[in-house]
Amino acid sequence: MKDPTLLLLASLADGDKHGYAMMVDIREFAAVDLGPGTLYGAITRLERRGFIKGLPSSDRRRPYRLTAAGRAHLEEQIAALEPLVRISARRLRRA
Amino acid sequence: MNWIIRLAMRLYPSWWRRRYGDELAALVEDSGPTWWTVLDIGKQGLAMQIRDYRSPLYLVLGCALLGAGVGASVFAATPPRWTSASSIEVQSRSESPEARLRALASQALSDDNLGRLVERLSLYRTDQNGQAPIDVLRRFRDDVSLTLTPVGFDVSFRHLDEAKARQVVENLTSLIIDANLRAAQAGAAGSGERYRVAGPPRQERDGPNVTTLMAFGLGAGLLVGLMVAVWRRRAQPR
Repeated sequence: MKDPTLLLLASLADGDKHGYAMMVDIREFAAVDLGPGTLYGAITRLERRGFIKGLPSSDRRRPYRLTAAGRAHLEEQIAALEPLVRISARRLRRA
Repeated sequence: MNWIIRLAMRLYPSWWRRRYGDELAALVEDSGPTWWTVLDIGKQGLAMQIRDYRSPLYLVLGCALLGAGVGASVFAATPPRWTSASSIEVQSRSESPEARLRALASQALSDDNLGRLVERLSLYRTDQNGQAPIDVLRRFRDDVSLTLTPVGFDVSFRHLDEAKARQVVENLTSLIIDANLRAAQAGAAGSGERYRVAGPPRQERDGPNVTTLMAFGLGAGLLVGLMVAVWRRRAQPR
């Protein structure tokens, strides 16, 4: 799984984070190195679709929060992936 | 490295830089800039420009394509003019070929000869209705050209109709050769010259071709697009 928008939503599901914190988190839980440009490309798309929102910040490191729409979208995506994961795992066990 | 990162960040649309530029710069500082970061930012900046319909990229490309279209339209709307040219080689050339050519031209291209040609080939028919014959002949003479070449001279004629241009040149060539023969029979000065037509008339379309016009339109459109993009950028509130 390397889709930056899904990785970012999964990272924010754990709590508000700014760019660098998301980058470190994604590296830890998914072993994916997102570049700063890729990360902010995903942030732009997700914020435009209303799945995340930027929180007020006193410095340049603005934290982002998952919205209700973002949470629903993430759940939908996970539900869509679940059969694929389940069936693949079962077939691999059988093989 | 920092200045390269700043340069790469310029690839993003200006509205994006205003909204996210500081945050991205802070993230680059925190994560440590590398060449991979430069490539990542450059790639995403360009992708953002392509996805953004307000991007100056589209304005510039749109103007360039419009310019090329205008160039093609100008070509399509301009009636073509054709030049037909025939080369005559002169053997035993006289000492003053220019004077000789002038003398022959005045005989061969007399008002009577040209008037007959105008009538027979229906030249300038659209203009003839409202134009006095003398004006038609003046215009005819303006479209005819006689030029000396190292081996003889060229006869050429410009006209909207390709076939008529060719017919006129063939007729003019015959008239000049006939005039030379008559002068030889009469024993006129320089009449020892012998003429030979080098080959069938060459046909050329006058003016720029469609590729040149489209390339010019494309370049002009590109320039206008760039100027408007720069002007828009300066006019934007910071």
